[in-house]
Amino acid sequence: MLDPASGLQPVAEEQTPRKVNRKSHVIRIPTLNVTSFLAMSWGLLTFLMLNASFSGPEGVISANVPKGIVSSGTTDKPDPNPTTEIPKVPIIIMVTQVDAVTARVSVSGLSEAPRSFKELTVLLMKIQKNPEKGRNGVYTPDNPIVIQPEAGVRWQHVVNAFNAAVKAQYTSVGFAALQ
Amino acid sequence: MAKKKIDVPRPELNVTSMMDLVLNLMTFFVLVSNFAAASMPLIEAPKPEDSLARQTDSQDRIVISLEVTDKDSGLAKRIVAGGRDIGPQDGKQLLDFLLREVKVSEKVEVDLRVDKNVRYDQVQPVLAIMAEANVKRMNLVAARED
Repeated sequence: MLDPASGLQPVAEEQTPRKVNRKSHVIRIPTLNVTSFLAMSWGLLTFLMLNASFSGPEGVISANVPKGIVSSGTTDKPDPNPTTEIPKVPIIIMVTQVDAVTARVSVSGLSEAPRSFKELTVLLMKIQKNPEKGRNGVYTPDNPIVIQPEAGVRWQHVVNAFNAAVKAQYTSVGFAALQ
Repeated sequence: MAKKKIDVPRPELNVTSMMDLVLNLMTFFVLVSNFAAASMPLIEAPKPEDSLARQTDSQDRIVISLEVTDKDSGLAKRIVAGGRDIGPQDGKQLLDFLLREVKVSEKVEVDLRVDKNVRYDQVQPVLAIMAEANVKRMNLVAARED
């Protein structure tokens, strides 16, 4: 409080000048520039999309190539490993062309003609000699089978016949030369 | 007169969900892509009834593929053996190739991968060459029933 006798007027509280702090706190928000990352991702995605091919799953049907069967069409070469075993009579499955897409199948020497490849499997099982499976036929499972398609038969039907033979548990399946 | 500051609205783009989707798609395509299968010719594998086709883990095998020119003619367009393009008429090159492989390993298996529309008379020369090269085991490639 000032002495009024000195002539100075007291200054009101709210008029007292204050020191203002000019330094203000700046909060920096961290940023991430994803432009190049997105460009790279899109490039990779485009490449992978163009490269992917969605085909059905493939597998293999296996069989041994029969020995001594004329599957090469050349009979002038002697067997390099001649054996004294009595050669087995091969079962010949004939696949004949009906039209461009269909084929008929038959087994040589049998009067029964299967109407489909499923029936072919049943027929091959019927003529098989396999006591473990209860089959009382003539041909053992290692008896060679020769598939003899006509020239114009599509590969689909040939594989069907091959599949039927392997399904009937014959282990030695080959293909005949073209007639 | 005091200057009035005008706040210009800044457009913002929230890319969080887009990045999430892009990364998911990339992961999917990376897992689905099979670059080894992409190098083999594209064929329509035969679909046998009750297919016995199974995936094989055999390492000692060669793949011979036959593509078809068109479905109507059933003629083979090209033969690809062991990644090499062999013309449909060049039996000698295929025989030399198979003889070399059988010499290295007698137990080598041959996977015959033929389009289902190819005629048998186009495939039979390949089978004859395989027999001449003394290939012991032959596998026919077909569609799997999973």
